[in-house]
Amino acid sequence: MKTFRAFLVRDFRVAWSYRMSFLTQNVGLLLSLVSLKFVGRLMDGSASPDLAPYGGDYFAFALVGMAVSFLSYPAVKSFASAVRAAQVTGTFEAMLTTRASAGTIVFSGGAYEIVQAAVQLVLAIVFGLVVFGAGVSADHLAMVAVVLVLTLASLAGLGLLAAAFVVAFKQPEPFSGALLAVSLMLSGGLYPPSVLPDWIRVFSDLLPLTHSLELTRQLLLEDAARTSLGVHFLALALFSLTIPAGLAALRLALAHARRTGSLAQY
Amino acid sequence: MSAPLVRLEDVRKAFVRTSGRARWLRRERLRVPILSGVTFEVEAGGRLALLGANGAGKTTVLKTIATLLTPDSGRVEVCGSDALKHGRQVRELASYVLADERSFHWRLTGRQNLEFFAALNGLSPTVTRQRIRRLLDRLDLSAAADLGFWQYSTGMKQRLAIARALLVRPRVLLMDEPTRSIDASHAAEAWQLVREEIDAAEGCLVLVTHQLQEAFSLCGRVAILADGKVALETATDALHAVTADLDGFTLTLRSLSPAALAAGQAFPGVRELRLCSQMGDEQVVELWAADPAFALGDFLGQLTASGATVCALQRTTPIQGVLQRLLSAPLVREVAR
Repeated sequence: MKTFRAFLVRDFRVAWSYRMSFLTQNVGLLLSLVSLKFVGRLMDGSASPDLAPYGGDYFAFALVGMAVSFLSYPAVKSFASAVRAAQVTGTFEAMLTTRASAGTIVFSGGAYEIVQAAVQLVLAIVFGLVVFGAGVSADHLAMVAVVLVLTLASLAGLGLLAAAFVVAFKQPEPFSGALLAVSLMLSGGLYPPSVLPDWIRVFSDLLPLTHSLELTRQLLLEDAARTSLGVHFLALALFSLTIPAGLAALRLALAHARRTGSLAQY
Repeated sequence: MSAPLVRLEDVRKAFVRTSGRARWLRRERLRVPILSGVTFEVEAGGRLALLGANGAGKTTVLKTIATLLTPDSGRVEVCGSDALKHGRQVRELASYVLADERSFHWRLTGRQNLEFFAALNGLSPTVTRQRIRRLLDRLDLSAAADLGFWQYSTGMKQRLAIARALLVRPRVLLMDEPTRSIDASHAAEAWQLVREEIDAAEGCLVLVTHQLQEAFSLCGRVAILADGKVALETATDALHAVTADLDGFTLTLRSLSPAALAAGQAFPGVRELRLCSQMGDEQVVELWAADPAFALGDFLGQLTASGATVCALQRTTPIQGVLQRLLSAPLVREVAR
């Protein structure tokens, strides 16, 4: 926990040292909610059958979709970007000479971005609820928290694989970014997956974000139908099993870098 | 004799270099041996200086002990723990002062950087505060503790690197040219602190340096790396006795005739005079004098009288020249005796 907390404090201090960026990031988030509210107003009264299972309020639907999508990006990218930053700034070797294990260092290195995204998720939903009256219910917050943790876990395996790639090859890998883009398109961040052609929906079911969005919406949105919760939970749990594979890849990559003397290279 | 805190046995390491030439999309891979069987030990309280020319493998040795590098073969032990199998245990016992000044977070202050690394080393907040206060004070960084690291001078960055390594009071302290850019008075204080910390921890020091004087004043033993091996390991005093009378100069001359070179070699007090390079009419000559009271002025006078022009004269203080002398076979035998 000491290491985890140290990384959070370090990254908060670094982020706070760029105050303008720190503030504009959060203001930008709130402004995007305003845009979303107006798009939602455009959809009001259209009574789309695809929105009906989610209570029919497009703004609330898209708000949750956007907020959960915030979380997916750092879950996949933050570990790799933390390793990359440490390589470039020259701190990677210095950290690896400490008592903290390499896995803890990589995992903790990505923690700030994830915590920041989680805070933004909460901010976005609270702002949407309080300012724009989004139809969001607080009845199942504990279960929503479990879903979000499972969402992180289901994507962390891929994130650790991306970090392993950076350790081994000294450059960001292209696959996780592409997968994220496909995920955002197919998982239904801004529209229900039911609007997608049937053959594409098969692929959408293979993405953890699809199940995460489905569960979060079913638990958070007022008047949403709660169906197949167990199936979605099970899917997320299964995706979480990729974490050991990610850790194993990271271990192999570190061993490779120690063998080739390339830990400090970037 | 106590059990060694650091023990290297026949450690070998080669790096694979790829050449720039592509042959059917495959680059040529060349295996370059860096360490070819390095063996040495450092016991508790011991302070060993690793000397050697650039590329001799000194940093590779330190990185291998610090578990940043895996040797191809051989055995590395720290306090009896195998560095390959028990890396975490080794990192609990050893601290490494990296030569790279980029190894800090530039947006944080010096104090915040130390707090971060103290947490990674598992120190409690109370111990962290105490240690940081003491180390910053001793290294004359207290006034700069809350300045951003980017505002530090190169010497201050190096002093902060020493503070970081001493946070945990390590049993094994590995230092890679730690005082390269530190002024003399701060370096002396840093070395005093290092001595105290090593004594308090009943630890040992492995120091990589290019400054012979530093090795002589701080370390009890010296190991010289050459051709990937420890070519010479001896007590500092023995080495000091042999090198004390060595006085080296590099001369750039013009129109030096073979006869003038031979006459120079026979000049009283000249231990060695050799032609290093020649380009056109210009020659670079290395002179080693055996006597500290060597009559350099008379020697130069003889050269100019023979028709040579002295274009430049430089004292050979870089370690490379001294090492070349030390590694000449007769001298190795002399020291080894």
